[in-house]
Amino acid sequence: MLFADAQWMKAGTVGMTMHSDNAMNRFLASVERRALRMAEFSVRDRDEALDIVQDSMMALVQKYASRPEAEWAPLFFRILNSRIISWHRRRQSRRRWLWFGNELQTDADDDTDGLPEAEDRQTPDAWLQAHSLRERLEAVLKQLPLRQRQVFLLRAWEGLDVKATAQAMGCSEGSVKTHYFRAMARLREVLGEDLS
Amino acid sequence: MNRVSDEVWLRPVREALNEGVESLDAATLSRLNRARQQALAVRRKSPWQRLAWPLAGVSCAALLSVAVVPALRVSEPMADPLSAQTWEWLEDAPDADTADSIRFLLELDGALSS
Repeated sequence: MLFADAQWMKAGTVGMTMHSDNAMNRFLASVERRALRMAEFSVRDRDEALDIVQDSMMALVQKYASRPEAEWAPLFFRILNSRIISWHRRRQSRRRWLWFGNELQTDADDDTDGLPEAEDRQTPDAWLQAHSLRERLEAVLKQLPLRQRQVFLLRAWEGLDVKATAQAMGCSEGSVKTHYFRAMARLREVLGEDLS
Repeated sequence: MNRVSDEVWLRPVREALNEGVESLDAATLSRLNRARQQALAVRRKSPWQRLAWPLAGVSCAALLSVAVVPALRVSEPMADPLSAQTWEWLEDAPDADTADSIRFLLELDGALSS
């Protein structure tokens, strides 16, 4: 009887694990591509972005798989954000260590480059016409400060509400609103009102 | 210029972002898939499998301490036995007080010399 109970309990545990494994698999499959693009906008390197996404998935599975499914998205993006920020910090400290004085000065504010101004030396109108919306959008997104970009992507693309975005970013809801407002204003200013 | 609402303005933006996701190449998608499977595999490991390395480490440390620590232990110096002459003095002492005095002086001498 006891053996049978133990077998039943074991089967139940395995069943639960398989169920939550499937749920986790589905969740990760649904966010991984967008997460990769978000990381790529920030680190500008696909391999680095892939490493960051893989680390984030590992951390989510190891630490938070037992949490309710509704919490996974903010938790995952919080991990992703912290990995991205750590990546930037590591790169800055490496540069400082290597003493690239001038480069450090220009790259310290990592969020100011992005628009391909030196690339074509065109007028803004010509640049807008020469590139597809996707190219223009990605260029402007890369130009946005890290937090504005992340808040914009989480709110407008990932569809998180203000509260979940605040959880994911580790900041206040007011701060999320401010970052989102500024990001939207900048995007609308550069891309224009008519995107059709 | 008329300002379109955020929601309307964002529609083509979302489409453009989704376009970027859909254009990911097969190699990248494969790496993403592998990364996901690896992450899930960590969870599928039983608790014993997860504890195997830490337990092995603790066992090695315990074995090492059992094997090495006794070898390193410095043997404590034995107390100097009383010399034969001291015994003679103590035996020759006329009474217990004198024997105590001799013993005290010897201890004092030992303490000063060390």
